[in-house]
Amino acid sequence: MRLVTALTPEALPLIEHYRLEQVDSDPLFPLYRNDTIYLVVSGIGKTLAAAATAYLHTKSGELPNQPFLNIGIAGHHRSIAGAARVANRITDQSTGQTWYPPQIIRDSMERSALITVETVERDYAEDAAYDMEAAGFYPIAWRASSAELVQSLKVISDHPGESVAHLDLQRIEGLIGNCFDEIDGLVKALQDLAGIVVSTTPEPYRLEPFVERWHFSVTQRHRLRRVLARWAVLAKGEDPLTSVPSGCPSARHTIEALENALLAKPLDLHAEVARPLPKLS
Amino acid sequence: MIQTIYIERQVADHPRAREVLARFPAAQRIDCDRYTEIFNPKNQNFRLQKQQPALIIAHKFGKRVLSAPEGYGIGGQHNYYFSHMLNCIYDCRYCFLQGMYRSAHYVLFINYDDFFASMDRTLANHPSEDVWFFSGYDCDSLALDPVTGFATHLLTFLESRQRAFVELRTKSTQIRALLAAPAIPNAVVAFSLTPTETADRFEHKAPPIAKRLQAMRQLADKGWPLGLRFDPLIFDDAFEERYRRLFEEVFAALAPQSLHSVTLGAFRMPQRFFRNLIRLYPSEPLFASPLQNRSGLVSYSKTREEEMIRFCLKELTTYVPPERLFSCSADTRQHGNPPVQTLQAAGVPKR
Ligand code: SF4
Repeated sequence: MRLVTALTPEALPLIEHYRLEQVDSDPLFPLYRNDTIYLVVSGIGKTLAAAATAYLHTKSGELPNQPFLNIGIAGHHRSIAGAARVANRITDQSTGQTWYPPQIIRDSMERSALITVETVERDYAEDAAYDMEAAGFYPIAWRASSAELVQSLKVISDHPGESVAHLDLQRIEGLIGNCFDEIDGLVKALQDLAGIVVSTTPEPYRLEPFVERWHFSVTQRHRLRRVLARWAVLAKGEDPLTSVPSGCPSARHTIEALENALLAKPLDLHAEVARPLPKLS
Repeated sequence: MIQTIYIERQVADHPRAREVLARFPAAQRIDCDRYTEIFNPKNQNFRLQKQQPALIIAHKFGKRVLSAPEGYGIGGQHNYYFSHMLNCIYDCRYCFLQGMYRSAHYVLFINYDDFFASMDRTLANHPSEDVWFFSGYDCDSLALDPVTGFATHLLTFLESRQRAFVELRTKSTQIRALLAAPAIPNAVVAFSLTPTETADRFEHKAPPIAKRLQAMRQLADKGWPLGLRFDPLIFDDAFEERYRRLFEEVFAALAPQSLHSVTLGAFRMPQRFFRNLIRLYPSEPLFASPLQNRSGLVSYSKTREEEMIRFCLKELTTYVPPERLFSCSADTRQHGNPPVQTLQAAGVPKR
């Protein structure tokens, strides 16, 4: 799980609840982690949010299909301070570019359009939340992951006509902390969703024992990879090398031996009933 | 069931869009400019979206009726297809839509009248000849009909166009609109069937075979011409036994006279789509089973495919007159894009 906040007070309740520890002593962006969750504090504005999201992705191992969640405070057209809103449309006000984070997770949380502005906004003309980071975060996280796994959750801090003077760091921390249950629910739901993709990939057989013995062209490597992937599904637990005759003269013959061995195996597609997908909260 | 509805701003006031929205009062509504903003971007995961697909209400621009590939058809000379919807509420593991589209959201094009106008123009291009229009390539023709109401509009259109023949292809039992209308000879309701265990294993969320047969019987009783689509045929070691049982079950329920056509086709798919399917379901034994790339189409080996088709044809000819039987093969398909079936007569005269 990868979390992005703009401000330290937005991060503090999360650092505390997830028992995150600072990663580097002198990082480009403050970075925290535990076994499963990384968190970066980007600073204010979409450029910093984009840079910090890329930094987070790199520092957390550039793994595919990781859930990304942007958490922070936002103003809103309506007087709903303290309420959490998940963005269902993110618009970069300066460019007009719009993204639609897929709404896959079933929960009772309210949704809202979210407009990212360059400078502090006080008018909130549209029926939407207003922040300064989501439009920087979203396209980078999306590029690093899959759209469904990238979401933005904002806790509403103020609305038109309300002074922002009271928005001190302590209040910001309180706003996020008070919504921790909603945030945690979304974190878990995103982790479950990502689990669907990650948990169903079978452990592949290694190519090395083959490429050490025979010379494979680039195309043959592709074929080998594919037949070994099939092997992992159809002949799980069996060593594929045992199906290749010891005197096998070439890479081509090796691939054919593996393919023929799979062909000779009993094929009952109906034996394994599809596993039910994990329930989403 | 539908929790999110995207709607193009230009159709927001369309009465049909309003009707659809009214059916889902609890759904969140998100306005957009074009459906492609949501449907087309990269880095979407079809499998994850299948957890909770959204509905997108849109206007179809451009070509609405497209030529079917050369050689395609169930006896007609002029063959076209159209899609008033993209994607499907069912989740068949072998469905090529998973490989073709980046998004699993359902797109509903609500300008039905424009589709009918395009069909009229196509008819005008073939004066005094029959023209076939195939629906149900990019969706299931009837599965969402209670929401879309498309079938009723289509049937009204067809009533006065006797040269226009339509195939509605489905796995659903949503036949209310058909039962409410008088049967017409130019709309064939074609049901896709696989053996019960295969359907249970691969056709998630689709009605069980017994229910489909029940729906077919109801339609037959009302005089609707029916089609049987044994497509895709899926091979495993018990293939012959399973399909023999399926045919017995089907023809115990249906009188052969009610059948307009029966088609057969082994599992096959453009390689590009197939690669996407493996990415989505890397542990699926069906995709790991022995398949070959035959000129850009992934299918069974030619020998195996011929054996499968031969077996089914032999079984089926005990029930169905040969002139109503059609089969297709990976080799007869020139097109990497849908529609994915190119049918040819199975060694028997075409209707
Ligand atoms: S019913 Fe047809 S369109 Fe729908 S998922 Fe199954 S194969 Fe795909």
